Amino acid sequence: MNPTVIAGLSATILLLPILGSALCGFLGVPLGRRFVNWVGTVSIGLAFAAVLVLLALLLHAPQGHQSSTVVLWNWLSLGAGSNLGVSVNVTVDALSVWMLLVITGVGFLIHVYSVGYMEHDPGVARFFSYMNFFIFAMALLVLAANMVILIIGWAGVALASYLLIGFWHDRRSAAVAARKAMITQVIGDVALVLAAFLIFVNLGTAPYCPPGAHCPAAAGGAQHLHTLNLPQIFAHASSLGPNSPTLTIICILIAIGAFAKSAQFPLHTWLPDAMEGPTPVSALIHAATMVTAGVYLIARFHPLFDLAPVAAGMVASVGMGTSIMAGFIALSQTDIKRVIAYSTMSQIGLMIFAVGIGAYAAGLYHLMIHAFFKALLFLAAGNVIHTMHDEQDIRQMGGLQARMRITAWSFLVGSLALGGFLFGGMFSKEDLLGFGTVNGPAAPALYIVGVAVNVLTGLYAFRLYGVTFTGEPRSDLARHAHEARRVMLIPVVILAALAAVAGWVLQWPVTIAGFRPAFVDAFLNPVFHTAVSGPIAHEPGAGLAGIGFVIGTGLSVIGIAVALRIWVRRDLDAPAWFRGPILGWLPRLSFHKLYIDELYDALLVRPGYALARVLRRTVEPEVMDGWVRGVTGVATDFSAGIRSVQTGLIRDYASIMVFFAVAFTVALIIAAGLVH
Amino acid sequence: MGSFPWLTVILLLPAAGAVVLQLIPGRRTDAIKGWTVAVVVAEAVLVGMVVFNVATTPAQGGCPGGPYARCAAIGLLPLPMHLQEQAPWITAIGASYHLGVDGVSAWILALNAGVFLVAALVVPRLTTERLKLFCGLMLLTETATTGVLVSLDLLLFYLFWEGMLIPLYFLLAFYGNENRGRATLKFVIYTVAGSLLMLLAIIYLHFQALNQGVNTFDLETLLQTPLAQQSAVPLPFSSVPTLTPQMWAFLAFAVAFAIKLPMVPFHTWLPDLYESAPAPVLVFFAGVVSKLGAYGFIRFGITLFSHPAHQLQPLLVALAVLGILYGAVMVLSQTDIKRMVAYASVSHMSFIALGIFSLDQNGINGALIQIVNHGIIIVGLFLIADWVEARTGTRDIREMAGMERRTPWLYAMFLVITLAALGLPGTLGFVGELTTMLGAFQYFWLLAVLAGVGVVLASWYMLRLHQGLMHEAPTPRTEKVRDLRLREGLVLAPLAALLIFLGVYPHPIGAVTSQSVPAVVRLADAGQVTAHDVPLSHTSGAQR
Repeated sequence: MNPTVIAGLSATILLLPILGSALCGFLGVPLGRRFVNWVGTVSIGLAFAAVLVLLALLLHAPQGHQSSTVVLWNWLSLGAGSNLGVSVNVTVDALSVWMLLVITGVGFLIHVYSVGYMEHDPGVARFFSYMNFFIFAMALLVLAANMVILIIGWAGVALASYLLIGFWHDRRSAAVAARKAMITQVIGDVALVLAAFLIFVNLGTAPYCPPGAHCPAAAGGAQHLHTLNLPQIFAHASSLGPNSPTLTIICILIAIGAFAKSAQFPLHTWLPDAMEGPTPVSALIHAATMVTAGVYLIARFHPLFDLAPVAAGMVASVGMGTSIMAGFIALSQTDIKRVIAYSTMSQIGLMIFAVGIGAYAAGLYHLMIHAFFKALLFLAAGNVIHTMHDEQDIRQMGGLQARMRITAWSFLVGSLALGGFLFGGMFSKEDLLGFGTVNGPAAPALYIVGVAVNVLTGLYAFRLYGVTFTGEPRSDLARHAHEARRVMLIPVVILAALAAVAGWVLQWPVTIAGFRPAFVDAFLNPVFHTAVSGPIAHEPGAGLAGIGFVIGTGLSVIGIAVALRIWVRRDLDAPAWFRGPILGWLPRLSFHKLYIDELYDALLVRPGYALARVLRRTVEPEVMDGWVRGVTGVATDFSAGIRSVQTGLIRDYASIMVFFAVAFTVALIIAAGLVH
Repeated sequence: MGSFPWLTVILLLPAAGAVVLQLIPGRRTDAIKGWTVAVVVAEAVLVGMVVFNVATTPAQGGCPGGPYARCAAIGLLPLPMHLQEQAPWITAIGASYHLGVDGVSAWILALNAGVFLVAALVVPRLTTERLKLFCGLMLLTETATTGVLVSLDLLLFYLFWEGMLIPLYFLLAFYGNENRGRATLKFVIYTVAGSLLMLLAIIYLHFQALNQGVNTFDLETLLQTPLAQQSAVPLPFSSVPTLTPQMWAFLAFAVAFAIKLPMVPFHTWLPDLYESAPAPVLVFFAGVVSKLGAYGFIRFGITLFSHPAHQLQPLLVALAVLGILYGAVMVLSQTDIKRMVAYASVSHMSFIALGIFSLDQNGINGALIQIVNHGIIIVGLFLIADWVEARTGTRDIREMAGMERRTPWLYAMFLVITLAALGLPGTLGFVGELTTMLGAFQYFWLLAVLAGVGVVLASWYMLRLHQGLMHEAPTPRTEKVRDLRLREGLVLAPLAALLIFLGVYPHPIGAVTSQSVPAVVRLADAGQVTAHDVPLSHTSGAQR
């Protein structure tokens, strides 16, 4: 692939959204809503077109030349040797193009939808400015070929998320949620920065000779990775040796960054609160793209994770643990968006599990399919919320199926894709779970947890569908609900179509027994099967995969069926046996989100403020000021004495001059005396 | 740039401006302010030319590589300068008028000129006679701070260092709010105590050189005088091996610089002063005067006293990290927005200290980047705090909320500055924190981890400040608040723009600082070798 073309296209993909953001931000208010609507959406549409060109180039690139890294500009250079020298590099390969397709493609649909959703909001210019900025930052994140630049994109999406969660400033809850999200993201940023430091200091100090290069012994000395370029980092990954503790720590730090972004336990509490933002934001940032960046990150750093099985196992376990935890919590939430948010957390948990066991392509496959059906669910929910005048409590809904048919059907498609029957999730989810039968720590224990998540997924997905769309309306708002405008329906329908067919298409020609997505594998695996890459996930045998597929889908269907039995055309309360004294604590635990927010408040926030109070009341006046008072007591008394007898400022000044002069002389005498 | 004395010009221009200012009648406030702005603009342009010159021309007489001792033999300078001027001054005691600029001082000079420009622009046009005094004192302060940054002679440096206090004292004591008296006194006592110790040390160094037959106060000469590094005259209390006179001299310098910086626990003068000082004074005080402590450490502290600096390195980095965390937690306990900013400043300045005391190229480059970064941020934050106070009549964050709706421009610029202050990647704040933390990490990983905790706390307190003013429903005090005036916006916008531009493209800073930092680190490393190889008491014995 021609580097100039790649650089040009990458720059276009980055520039269009940031330009759109600047135009909307600076000119949006004076030029009005139409201008903002057009600029905000067209910039992303054009970026998507550029991504399609990249895809075409990539598909036609000869074998072995499917990755291209170009330098855009020199970011910072602190000298040679062990000094930091970072340049703005971008890599175009199957992985980054795969992500860009989701970001700009789904992003474009959501931007179009936003035109309708934000039609009455006075802050539309600000909204599109932030949304376009998000697309820019996310594109930078997946294109970056340098760890520092990646971190800049990484933080940029966090900023966009912060701004959009707190979009409706007046709400206290929005401000608090935005701050919570940002602080969690900063924790992740710091972890990534520390990982970069460890890489900087430890990797690449062993002699390294690039393949094919002529390396005389003298030149084989210490070579510092002071540039933090990703290709170099990966090439040097094995220099620490397998199972190196340093590499394990590096990977754990990277994973902490990923957990913060992808809302994995214990850094997950911000995501449900993030639903304070407008619904298109939830669809784009908190479902389809940003929260999946953690999956991307681990996939991108796969050469390190391949060499650090302990860290990878931890990643897989955390992913699966979060998945079942979030699925459990989703069962009893009553806010339509929060249910979907916990569902997102749960599904991303599965992806994190997949990349943790080395099934990278499977994880990314589910990432794309999930982006389709989760964006769909959020946008359809957005239609509901829009027509319900911002009411989000599903207890106030019901019977919407008859009133908004297209939305309801789309939501049903999304729910089926999420639940894992017929559509999207059936392929991608079972595919990644299938790897769990033979890979990962204590296989197949996590696989068994995974199929249990299937039951939960079916349950909460169809509880949500049943309570929201079937039965009788439970409020006036629901009785007067009507179908959404066309600009909001078209993206929903397109996403529904994608969620319905993407699994079938990408899986075509279907290997029935293995159920391996042929195209996805062929497209993505060259990225993960590199020369230095260590052990990658084992393919489950055809028979095993077949059995796994049947079990997984079967359990999904059981979950769906039970949910339909309990919640369709009925109230949303828990079934009778969960209201009694024996099992009554279970719904409570689920409803209160395992009390984790309360725990953090008691362990971190309150002690933080308490410490601050102690410092202000005691340490600062008594210790910090106190020791100075003690030491300079004499001088203070002296000056206080001067001040008390002085009235004019000039004389005050004169006395200080005298003080100077005397002290100067004394100093001279002492110093001279010392020397001689 | 030929033989024209550019440095003398940038040094004396503000003072000359102050003299000419006296010719303008006190009633003509417009003319007074206009003249002041003209002088600082001219100064900024000239400094810009000097910085550009530093960026584009190589240093003269530098040591190309390897330990400095080899270069000294062939007459190369320990700290190569890009521009310098030298003339005899007080020949009897060997003091000379020696000015120089290199990559270490270039960007701080630029910051200096920049913050004085901002300060001059935001001086309120008081209708009294006192505007002239104010502007005159401000220009004198600029000459003094410039002098600190270009002096290569220790006595000259000390003259400017102390001289700076005189106009500052008047500015702080005459203007500012009702609490200024106590705060100013506290500051002056702290500073004078610190600088007197430094004077002692300077005289001690002079006599040390004199014993070697070199009659000098010149930094480059002192650095080349072997005993300046190593000699030790046992003091009565030097029975503890590390408490050599070298160590005492270093401590004397260190206390002076640490007070200015300020490092915890020398910081308690700062919140009181920042709370009471008038906005234009705060702009250049917080913007550049406090940075001179950091500059002093880099230029004099760790080069002249590499040996004690290495011995005290664990203590110094520990204090820096303590400052980061302590300042951060203190912000969370405050409700006065100016005091919040003041403690945030303590935390951020400690990153500079952390970078310096990592005694590493990444760290010291980072410290210089962080100096520029924090200079811009703190100016912005104090201006915003001051304007908010003027609009709402309060500094209590609990009485403010929801200003965003009425003040979109203030919101946007405050947001950029807030993000830079919490070190968001993509802003200059990130560059400063990344590089200083990298330096610290290379010395000892735990420091970077703790500094990272400080970064997380920064996101907590900065958002508490920003959201506290901007979000939620407006209070009675903020209901009718007015957005930035055009000229206020024109002052803030370049600051915000710089924070983003230099965050995306920090190369212009790094390219300049990294030209001169290696020489500093080479000198600092000299101490490390002896510290490891020979116990100090032996060295001093042998030298005698």
